[in-house]
Amino acid sequence: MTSHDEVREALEVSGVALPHDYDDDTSLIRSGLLDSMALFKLALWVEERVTPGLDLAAFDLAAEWDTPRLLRAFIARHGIARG
Amino acid sequence: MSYEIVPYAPRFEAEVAELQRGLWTPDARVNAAYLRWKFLENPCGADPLIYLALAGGRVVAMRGFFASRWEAGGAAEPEPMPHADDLIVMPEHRSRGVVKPLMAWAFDDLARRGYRNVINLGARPVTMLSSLADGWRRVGGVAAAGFDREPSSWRGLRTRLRRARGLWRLEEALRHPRIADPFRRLDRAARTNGGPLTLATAPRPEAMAALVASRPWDGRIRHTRDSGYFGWRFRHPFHEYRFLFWEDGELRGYLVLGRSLSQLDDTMRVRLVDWCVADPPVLQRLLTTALRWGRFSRFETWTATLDDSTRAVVEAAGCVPLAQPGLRSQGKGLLLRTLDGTWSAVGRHDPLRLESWDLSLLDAMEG
Repeated sequence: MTSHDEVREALEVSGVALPHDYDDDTSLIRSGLLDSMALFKLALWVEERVTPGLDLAAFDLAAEWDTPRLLRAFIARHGIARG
Repeated sequence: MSYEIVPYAPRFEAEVAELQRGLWTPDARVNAAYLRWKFLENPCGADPLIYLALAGGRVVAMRGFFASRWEAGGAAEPEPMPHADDLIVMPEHRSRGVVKPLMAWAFDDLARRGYRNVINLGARPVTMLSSLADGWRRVGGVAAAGFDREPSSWRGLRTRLRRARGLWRLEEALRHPRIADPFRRLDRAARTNGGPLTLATAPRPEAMAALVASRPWDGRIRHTRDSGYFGWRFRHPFHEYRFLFWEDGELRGYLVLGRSLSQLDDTMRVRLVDWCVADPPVLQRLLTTALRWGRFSRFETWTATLDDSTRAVVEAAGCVPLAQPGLRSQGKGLLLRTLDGTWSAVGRHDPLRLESWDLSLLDAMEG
């Protein structure tokens, strides 16, 4: 299971300046918090954690990745076991 | 920083041509010609749907939507769909929140003008993801197929030149379209040919449109192909085309090959951008002849929406999938965005199903 801290770290590594009140329900996509490069880096991070890879035609990114909680749920649904 | 979003006006032409030196070609004069051709001379709609972000009165970002018209079985008239393209932001204004208000302004304006959907066939991975975050839907990939037969030794030499201090200009010169001409062998072989197959550097818009109109159509959503469209489309200012015609008393088939002349592109990549034939064997003859004459090192076409017999012809010609798994190398795809919130049918077709579409490279500016 991907943790709250792992998502936070992934966002920071992607170059996102997190707001002071960042929590599991912070809007990432619809708020415009992630710019295009940050979103691309986050997507690469997600891609490493799902199987058989990201099919961008198969889900609504704006809805299913909008908050850290939703993002963790997405990875849990599509994720691979990480050793 | 705050940005002012404005629609295009002729006074911005020089600034846009300069800004697009990072995306179209390094030559601002060619870019100005491309701008006029694409947005002002387009027979699908000559109202320039170009949106600009200004900072301090200067153009720092642009998003263009060129006019396209799509016909579908069950629709009385072709549906106009602005085709999103040309997104560029000055380097010093990237990651500063300029794209989101630019796009919001554009979508509001396009909706006010009465368009139902916008389309995009040219987004690279970063733009594709940000588009999905902005309400676009990816209908499916275009399934680019082709081959790359450039000798690895030549590729390695070019890479070394590019990295070597002082020699990158030589590498750039070697890519100049006058030196790197993938049509040289094709042109030479065609000069000695007799028979029903002819090669030309200019289209025959009336005959090509008449052939398209004479063929049975399965009703899938496709770009309109009339003589006005053909006459305009192949005047692309920094693309070069070759037309193979098969005639047997009347035109029985055509095949169009294209390549980019921009040094920002791969000038040696030949693209099979469009064709129409009276029956599948004609396509096979046209394609195998083009490849035998041209002996191209790099070749590409789109296969996602081909029928089985056409796909078999393309595969038999040696084309294999070019896109690799994974986001970084994921190929381009069909992106759609609704402007009225309905995702309503185009004709009798669901636009969110790839099976509803009949796409070719000509539909994107890459072709």
